[in-house]
Amino acid sequence: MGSAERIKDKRKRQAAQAVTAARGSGGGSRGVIAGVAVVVVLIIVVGIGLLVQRHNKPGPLAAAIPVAPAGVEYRVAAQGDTIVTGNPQAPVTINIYEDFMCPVCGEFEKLYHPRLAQAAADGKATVVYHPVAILDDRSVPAGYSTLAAGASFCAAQAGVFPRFHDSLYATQPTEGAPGWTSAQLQQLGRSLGAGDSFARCVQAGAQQRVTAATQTASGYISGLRSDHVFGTPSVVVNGALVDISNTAWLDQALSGTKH
Amino acid sequence: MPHLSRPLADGLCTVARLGLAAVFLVSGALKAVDPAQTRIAVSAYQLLPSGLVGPVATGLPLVELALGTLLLVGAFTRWVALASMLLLLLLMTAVAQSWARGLSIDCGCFGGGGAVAKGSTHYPQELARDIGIMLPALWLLVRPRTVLSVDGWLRADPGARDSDEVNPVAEPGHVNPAGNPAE
Repeated sequence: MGSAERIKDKRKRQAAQAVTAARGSGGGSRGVIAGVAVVVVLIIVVGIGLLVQRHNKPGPLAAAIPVAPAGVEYRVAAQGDTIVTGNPQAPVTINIYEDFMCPVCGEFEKLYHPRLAQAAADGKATVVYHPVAILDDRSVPAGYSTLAAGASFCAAQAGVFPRFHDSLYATQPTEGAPGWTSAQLQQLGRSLGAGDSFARCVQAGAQQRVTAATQTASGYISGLRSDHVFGTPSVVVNGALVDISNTAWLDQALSGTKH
Repeated sequence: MPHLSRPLADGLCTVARLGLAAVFLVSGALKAVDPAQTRIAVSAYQLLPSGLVGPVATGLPLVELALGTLLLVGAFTRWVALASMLLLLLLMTAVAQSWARGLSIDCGCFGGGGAVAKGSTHYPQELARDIGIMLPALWLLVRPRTVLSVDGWLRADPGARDSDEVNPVAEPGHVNPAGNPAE
């Protein structure tokens, strides 16, 4: 094929393509149809995904916080950022740092609370509760840890701390789900016999106080640990951090044995 | 790589595309039906600031569903393959960093996720699985041509200029090289 013929062929091919391009809305319309169809399908799929998520989001646990049964009675005194239970002059001081959202704290309470309460009642130990809020972001909406910690101070002031504390740990909110609301916490206090000042106290909240208490605790506990991490539950007995994976820790603490 | 015939290569790529689609659709669906668990899984990586955990936990399954859908219908395959690879790389980085930091978590890639007991982690297996999923994505990035796809439908367009199936009618000037009626 000579170069002249090649050029002629090429020009004819280009002319033909120009004709079809001018004639053809065929190419454009397929692209538009495909584009629209794909967008519509995507919107439907993503929309279904959103609906499924919303449908499966856990709702509030119950209408009201279940009230824990009455346990052994012990002295309670709100003191600064802590709640001191039992006789302050008792030979052993057990400090418990816990977050109301924390599942492991719930386990801890289940395991040890009856004996801790008994020790406080018998004057064998001063059990000091340090409510902290490190898991605010685990509830949806965030902030249950702070709310519950603040409410527990109010409960101590209103004289209903023992059963209030026990109720919140008996039925903890799940992570990623709503926590108990302020109204529900107020209702719990009311059903335990707290007065109107309790409700006002919970409504006022204790954001700054809880945050400050958490920061202090965080600095203190992380200083006591080799990995410098603050986690809950943390237990400090007579100034020394306790390894609570040792299930005999409470026996040892109460008997004064060094662990 | 041996030279494969075009139909065979198309078929294999289609299998890769549909397989990848299935992975993303299943992964996205499993996350969408348990948003609380997904949230726990995301926050367990301890990578994101707490304000981002929620949006990521909500958005990630939707992104996976969108990518899976686009793969299923075969639209923009090369771009979707690229996006899939980036997503997988991100995920592998997250898994690797939690391994390096000594976190004890489950990846949560197919539901589940969150903290697990030390010694129950499966980081090497999770990373190997992610690499396995990345291979078809990589292949589709290089060779996105598949059958049964929107891309193929658009490709077969008679009006398209660089179509492979050239319609002889579109070139009225094309004649038997032996003759040259135009001159």
